[in-house]
Amino acid sequence: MTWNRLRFLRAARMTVRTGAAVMVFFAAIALTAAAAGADIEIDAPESSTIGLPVTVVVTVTEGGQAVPEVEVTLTREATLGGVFGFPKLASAVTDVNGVAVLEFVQRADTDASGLYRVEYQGADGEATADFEMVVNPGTQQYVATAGVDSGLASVWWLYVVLAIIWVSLAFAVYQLVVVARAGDRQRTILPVPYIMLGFVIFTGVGMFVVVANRPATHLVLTPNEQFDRDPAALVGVDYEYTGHSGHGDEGLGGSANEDLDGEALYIQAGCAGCHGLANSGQGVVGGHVSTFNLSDAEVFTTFVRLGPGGMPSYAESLLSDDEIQRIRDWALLEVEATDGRTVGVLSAVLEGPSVGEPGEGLVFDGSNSVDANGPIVAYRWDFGDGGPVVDFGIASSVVEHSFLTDGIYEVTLTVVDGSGTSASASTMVLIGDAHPPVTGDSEGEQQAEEAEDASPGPSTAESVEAGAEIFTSSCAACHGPNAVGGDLADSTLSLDQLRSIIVNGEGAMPAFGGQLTEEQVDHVVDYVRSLGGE
Amino acid sequence: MGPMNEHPAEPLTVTASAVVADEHDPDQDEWVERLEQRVFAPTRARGLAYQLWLFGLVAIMAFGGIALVLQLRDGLYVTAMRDRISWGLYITAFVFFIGISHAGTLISAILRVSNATWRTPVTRIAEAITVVALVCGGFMVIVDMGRPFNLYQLWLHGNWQSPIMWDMMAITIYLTGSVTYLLVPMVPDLALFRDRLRGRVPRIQSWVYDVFSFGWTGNAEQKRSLLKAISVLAVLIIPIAVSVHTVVSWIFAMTVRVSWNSTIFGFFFVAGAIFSGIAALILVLATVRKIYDLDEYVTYIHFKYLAYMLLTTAMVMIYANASEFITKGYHAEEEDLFAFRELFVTDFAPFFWFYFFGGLVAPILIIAYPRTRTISGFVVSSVLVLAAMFVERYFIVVAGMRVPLMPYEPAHYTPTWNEWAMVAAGVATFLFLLTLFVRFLPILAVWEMKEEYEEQQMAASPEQAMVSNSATAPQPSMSVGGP
Repeated sequence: MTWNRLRFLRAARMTVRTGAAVMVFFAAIALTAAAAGADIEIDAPESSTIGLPVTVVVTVTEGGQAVPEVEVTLTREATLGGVFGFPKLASAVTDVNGVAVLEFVQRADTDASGLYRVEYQGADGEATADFEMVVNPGTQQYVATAGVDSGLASVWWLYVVLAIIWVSLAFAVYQLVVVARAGDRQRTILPVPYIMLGFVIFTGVGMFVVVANRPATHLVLTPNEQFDRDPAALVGVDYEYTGHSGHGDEGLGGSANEDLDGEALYIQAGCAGCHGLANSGQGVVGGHVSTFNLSDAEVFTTFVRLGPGGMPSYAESLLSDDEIQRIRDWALLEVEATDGRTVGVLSAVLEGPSVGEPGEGLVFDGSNSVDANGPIVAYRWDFGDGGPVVDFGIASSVVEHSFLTDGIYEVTLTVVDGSGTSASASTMVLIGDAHPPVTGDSEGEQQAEEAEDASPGPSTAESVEAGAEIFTSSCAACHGPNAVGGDLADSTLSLDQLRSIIVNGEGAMPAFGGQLTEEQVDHVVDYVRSLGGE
Repeated sequence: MGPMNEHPAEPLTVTASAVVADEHDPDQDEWVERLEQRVFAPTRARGLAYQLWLFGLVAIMAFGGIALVLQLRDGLYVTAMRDRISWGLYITAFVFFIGISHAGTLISAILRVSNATWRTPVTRIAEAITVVALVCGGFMVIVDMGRPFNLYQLWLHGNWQSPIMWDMMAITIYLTGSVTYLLVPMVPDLALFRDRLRGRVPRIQSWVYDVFSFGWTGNAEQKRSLLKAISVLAVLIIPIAVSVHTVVSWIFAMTVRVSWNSTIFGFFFVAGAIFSGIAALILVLATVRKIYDLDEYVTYIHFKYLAYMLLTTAMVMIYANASEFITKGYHAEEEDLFAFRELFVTDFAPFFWFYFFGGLVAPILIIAYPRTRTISGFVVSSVLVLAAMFVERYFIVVAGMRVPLMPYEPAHYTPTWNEWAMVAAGVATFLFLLTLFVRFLPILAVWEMKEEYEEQQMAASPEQAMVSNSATAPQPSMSVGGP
């Protein structure tokens, strides 16, 4: 019942908020009416800056006469901890001319309400007047400046420590010189302690030079030319990017050469850090860029935006849609250049066991399927046991399936590439004793589920199929067999829990309530539940 | 070989100690002679077992060399270190060796500064362990580098605000200091070797004794200078040793890693270093004593005192662990809980509980229980402590690295054979260098032991003390080996 409860709570909150606003509105009208005689003139700036003081000058008159010696209060509209009201900002007493100067420091944030109110409560009347003021962003008031600059905490202490150590060491070694001088073998032995002393002095002075060479290098952002580093590690605001691996000087944006631009983005966004340079096989994660789902622009964008597995998600602020596409364009060219795959035949390759036991998890591998014309975008599995077609896009290249009853099944793999071309392969599996497969048994299972959860409507084959379609486009990017959330078939969640998670999201999963209709959610729920093997 | 020609071999009997000893009672003369013969003994020993031992060590080192060459050719890819767990066995071994190196200098220097009289037979071996372990520790860091040939860049473009620079500086200072601290008190003993072994050992060996005894004759000025150098070094080496392991801990503690983000790390690492250092010292001392029959000089008392130090540091370790875990466990942030779970319950639980019960609790019980308070008991404790401290460094490094900083799957790390080979080669190098030290250099501080013996004799018979005092006043009692 979580979903219903949430809906109720949301509605209740809205009602309370609206009610409060209406009440305040009427109260304001009433107050203004009561103070018909008084007049408040406000001289306030049109805008204010966070962290800076604001001065509001108020003149109170009553029938043309200045009202002295009354207290005037400045408040602003605010919601604090869910409570709506007018907290006090400043107050002052009017002078003989009826003028009061109200000062406060602007602490509101930029998207706070800009409504301010001046109130006056005199002996024979009261009055309010509202005005508006824009809040501009200012400098942060609550973060200390970077670093602590103290003349006493400095590199000089390091010099002092090093000096004490090395002078003491040199003194100790010098005693060996003295020992040798006092001995009877001066001529032959003496060079040895001197050499040792020389070594100590050399190393000690060398250490001073190392420190003095870069006394505060964190301020020096310009990399030394002699550093032998990957430029990707140094791309930043203060570092001019000068191209990569001999491609010449290319800027990060507006490059004439689109694919190089994509490469620069690929490196700058940090893709190369995990995926290596495209198709070089150096990447730690994901290996070759050709294993990305490159063929479909939308799928590729979704991948980058969501960040499946251990990959971070790239928001709009990091990479725009256009930039993601430029990366994709470049990667496609790169795949073409390195693999030489432009035209060719799509063929499905299915590998898997030919015998098994009922309930045993059998692994079927379609990942060796080849497509010479770009990557495969979908692997569809029909296990021939009356269950739904399994399709998690590229995530289902390897699947695990258990057959419930004895029999001979035909397992069919259909691969689809970016252009919509498809190819199939199939294999026969013998489960237990070779009795014919019993079909239609799933109805019994569904009935059991319904009894357990009191599902509002029976899950039909159509619903499951519709759900599978939505799942493939909206959920498979993350929920493939090897990705986040693990195997959904193992889920023990109830119908309502599933529905609530899809609508509201959970953890890293976004809420789909806005994207899917209630009916579509039901389809997905039916599909997910159809995955569970008993 | 110039020095050899200028100074032909002198008869063994013409030594100051022999001359001076004439004025003393024959018992002391005999005691000194026996001590010297014991110290000379390793330089003569060349049995089959010794050859086999050296051959075995060299074979292991050669195998490690192959692994090293492969790693230099193919890069760190041959190890199991990857982006998520980027430190492994090498860094573990590095911390372990640096820890062992504290045996020496720290223990020997503390005992010297606090003037503990029982120290003399122990210090030399302790100081040797330090130098040898430091060399091996430094080697492990270099092995962990992807491109060790670029090491010199650290000196050319090093940024001292980076922990690797602190590491370089601390280890360089420590190595220089501890080599000096090993060499300086050894000068009179090298002079003894020079005088007594001339003609009995190969020329090159004799030449080394000759050069590094710096023309020591034992005169007053030499003695004064030597004592000055020793006292400066003994005081200097303590803060250096403490700072070295503190810096090693900072390499961890100053990185943004959950399990390492702790202010107790400096203290904890120093305590752990002394702990494993004492264990290594007990083990090496017991082995050398057994092989070269040093029972008379390295006695049960020495082992007992060292074992008591071991027991005390074990308790300090338990305290430090408790302080760390209880502080973090009390506020129980999500990442800390992950670290605790892998440490106490899942992946690293066997390691941790072995470390705790096998490496901390068991040694305490063995040393505290009178029946097992024997040298064998101490040796068993030391072996346990060394194994546990290696394991402890392993789980500090790997388990610390494993706690995810971003929402990704925690990685797994299983060292490859290259890593094991290189670490084994490190241990073999340690044993090899130590064997060479024992084989060629004085393993006991003979002149210090003689001095101590004379003081004891004087204390035993005050009348004679008066005599010998007046007799030795112009010629200092530290008149070892010089003519």
